[in-house]
Amino acid sequence: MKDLHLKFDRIRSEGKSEYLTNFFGHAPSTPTPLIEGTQESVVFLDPDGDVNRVYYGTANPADLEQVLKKVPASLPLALDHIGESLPDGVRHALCEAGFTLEATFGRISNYHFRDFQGADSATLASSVDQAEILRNIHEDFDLYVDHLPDAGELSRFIENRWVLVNRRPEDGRVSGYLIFEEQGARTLIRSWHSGPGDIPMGGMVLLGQFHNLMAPTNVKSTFGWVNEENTMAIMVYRRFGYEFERMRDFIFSRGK
Amino acid sequence: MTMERVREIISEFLQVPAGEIGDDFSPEHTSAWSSMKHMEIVMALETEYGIRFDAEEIPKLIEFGVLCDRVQAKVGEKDNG
Repeated sequence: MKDLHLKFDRIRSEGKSEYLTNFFGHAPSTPTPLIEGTQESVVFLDPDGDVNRVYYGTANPADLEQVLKKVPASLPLALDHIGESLPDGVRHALCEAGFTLEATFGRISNYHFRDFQGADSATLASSVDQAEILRNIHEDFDLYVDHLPDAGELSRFIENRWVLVNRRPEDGRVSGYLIFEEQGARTLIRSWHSGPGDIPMGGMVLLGQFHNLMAPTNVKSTFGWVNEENTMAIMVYRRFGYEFERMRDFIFSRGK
Repeated sequence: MTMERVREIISEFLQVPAGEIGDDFSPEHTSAWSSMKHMEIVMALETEYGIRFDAEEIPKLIEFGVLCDRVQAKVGEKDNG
């Protein structure tokens, strides 16, 4: 893995123009990721379930385009670029290399919690709910666009009491869920879903109960990433006092 | 007067004849009353009457009679204060 970091470091330090990247040093999920590169660009694929997440570093977007074209077309790819904007050169390179912009997410955050009455019906999930929640997540979300927790992560989240659920009154099945992850003084809302089969206004109930959990803790802020076309989620977030920050996540796919 | 206007707004958003909207009319009576529509109705009423509902009130407003009562109460609070 050291070699991989060295490749990125070299391009950043030796590049003749602005260094652009979406890789900030995390450890890849496999010790042998597929790597393609030149003197000015490096790309590696990090498997995430059925998709490969693409990470790049480049000092020349035109060169990046050529490197991306070397990645076998048979591999399903997803690529995030997080920033206030998407550099034109990167956008062009991705489009020319066959990528499609799937969605743009905005980071939305809140620094104030207060009790939300009437949310008691949303309760913490238990380990027996894990398989059902995991199944629902894969039906409700897009594995290219959304960073879905795997079974191991979900198990840990449930154990840490980071998963809230709504249940259908008639049979107790999970009809809505909110998965969060405490990260020191702030908490990330990972996945939040309330579909047509959920209790009325189930999404608000889940978010309200989440705020009830956060209010007595030392958490200073909560934040989430919301698809900028998801007007329902945005309306509800805003009603709870969330506001968009400037940070956006541009999500591309290839071979979907 | 308020009640009739609220009925009209709900009728428009849900595409349900106003005559079918009685006091107990709720999402149980029409699948058109989704969470999304509910938020849109609430926001339309807020704009119409210059009022604002707290987040925690919104899930409780899922019955025509309750919605009318709360709109009238909010309008009264605004007018008196």
